Amino acid sequence: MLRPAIILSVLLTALSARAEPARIVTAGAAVTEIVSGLGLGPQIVAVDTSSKNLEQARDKPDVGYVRMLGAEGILSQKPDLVLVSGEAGPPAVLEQIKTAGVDVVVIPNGYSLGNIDDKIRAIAAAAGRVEAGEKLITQVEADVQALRAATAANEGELPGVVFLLARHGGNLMAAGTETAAHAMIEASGGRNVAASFTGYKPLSAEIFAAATPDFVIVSESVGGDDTELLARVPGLGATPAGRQLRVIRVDDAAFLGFGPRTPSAATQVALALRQP
Amino acid sequence: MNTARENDSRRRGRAHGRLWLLASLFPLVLLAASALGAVNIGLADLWNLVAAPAQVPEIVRAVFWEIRLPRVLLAALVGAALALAGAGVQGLFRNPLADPALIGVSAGAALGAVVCFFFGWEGLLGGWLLPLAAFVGGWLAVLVLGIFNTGFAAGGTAKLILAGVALNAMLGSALGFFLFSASDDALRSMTFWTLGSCASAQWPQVVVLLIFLAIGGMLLWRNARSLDALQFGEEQAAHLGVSVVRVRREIIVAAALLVGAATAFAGTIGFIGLVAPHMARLLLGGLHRLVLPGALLLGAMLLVLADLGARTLAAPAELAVGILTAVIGGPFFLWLLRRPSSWSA
Repeated sequence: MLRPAIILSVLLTALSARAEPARIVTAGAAVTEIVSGLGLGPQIVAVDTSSKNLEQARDKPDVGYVRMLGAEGILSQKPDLVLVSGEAGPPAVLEQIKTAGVDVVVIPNGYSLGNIDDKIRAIAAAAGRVEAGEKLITQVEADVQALRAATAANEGELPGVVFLLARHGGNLMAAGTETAAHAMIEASGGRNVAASFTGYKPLSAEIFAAATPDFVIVSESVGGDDTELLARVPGLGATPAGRQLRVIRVDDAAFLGFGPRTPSAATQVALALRQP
Repeated sequence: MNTARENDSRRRGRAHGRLWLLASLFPLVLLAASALGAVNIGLADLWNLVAAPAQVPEIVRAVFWEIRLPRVLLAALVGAALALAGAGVQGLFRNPLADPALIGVSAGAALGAVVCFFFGWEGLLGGWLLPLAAFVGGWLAVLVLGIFNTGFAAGGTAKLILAGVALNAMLGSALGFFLFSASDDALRSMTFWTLGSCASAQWPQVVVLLIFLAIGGMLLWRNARSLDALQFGEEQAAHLGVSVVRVRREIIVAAALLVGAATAFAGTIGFIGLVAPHMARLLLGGLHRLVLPGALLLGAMLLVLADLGARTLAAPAELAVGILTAVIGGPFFLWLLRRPSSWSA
């Protein structure tokens, strides 16, 4: 008696997964970018704060910071699909949205270029756009090939790089290992000189005791010109090597987001790193 | 002499009247908070939810029963627990700046939670390890305080406060160490936990917190008269037959239970534990049989209103409730302070 019911429910789930959603709430800039990339931009009814910087999402309602979502706020947008990146939370809020009968799909994060394809595949499956997904993956793969070509020319010792993150209060933090920035420095053919620690740490002169960076990467949203910026880096601006230092500015949503634009952002950095 | 006694009983009558006023405002605040939110429910649907559920859209039913009502109730219980603990601790230390944080519960709970995030354990035991770790952290902090103060017996209240200051400083360093060593991901989770939120409210948490509130509240209630006696000083209270050591132990246990459980489910929320008891004293006078229920009601209403703001002001986004407790409670408190009052005790 039970079996037909189970088969039916499995069938229904499969069908509903393939059906195209009419109202989507996205959280996480890369997720929003991919959903738009699949041609579902008009179906996005609300996005999180990090997605608000994207051209495609500027006029959509804001459901707040990706780690501090509210169940009612999201449900008030009457979505039939909620697509969130791996860091979204709190977990209980995602559970509450499911309890209200709305599909919630979490797209795992990962700091590798291969993760972009995984994200696209997962989102395309959840949104019933598998073909569009494969097309987007082909484009991303082409960009990754271009990046490989750009980094293949780097011979010998890799240029030393430090990624600086501006925290509130104007403090500069350097990106250690286990960060998106570390993965992207390596993907762009650089060597992270701040690899002696994990996470983002306040900048100290000791970071440069072992190795002096040849390049500094900062977000383009950081104010001030290059000399001002370098003056804020202790123990670096004064050394002769510091005067040679070049600053590369990146769109951090593209460079650190591990979304569709990430490989070409890395290619630009790779080309900048090749300049002698 | 006679007129003084008449004045006294008139004051007490007025205080009782005000307590009843607070008690009748409380259900109105709960009702308003249940009706308002990002998803529009309205008073008619609110009535139908109980009387004729079939007439209400399913999504509205789910939002109300599974999301909004547990959240409103959790906010009320957390606010009540923090305010009660504050009233007890302020009465015990006879210090208007005393705060439940003084005995190390809040910092201990924060350390428990931060350790949980540090190792990425916050999802374990179906999400219950995090509140458990916070509660145990708060409890351990109070136990350590007890050991260093030789079981609260010999030292006296002044030593207890000093031990609390030292304990808080040590817990602060430990917290700083974990914050510094944490991965970027864990660090963000920790930061948001310490801002406080009622957004994760679920029915089981409401039930658990209600039990803790009942136990802690009863412990405080049975010491209410002793707390009144303590206001004349510890020696005088002892002459009046109060066992100061026992009262001290019970108040601290109650505060640890209340703040530990509240913090476990809602993160660290400041201001209410400090200010709600003062509001109660300004409105109702100094007797703890009035201050305790008054603080409970005021704390509950304050946090329900602050949480209402947190989930509606920036809707569909959420604000941190910690930002709003002071914004809502601060002006009211200042107004109470400025008002010429017959109770300046």
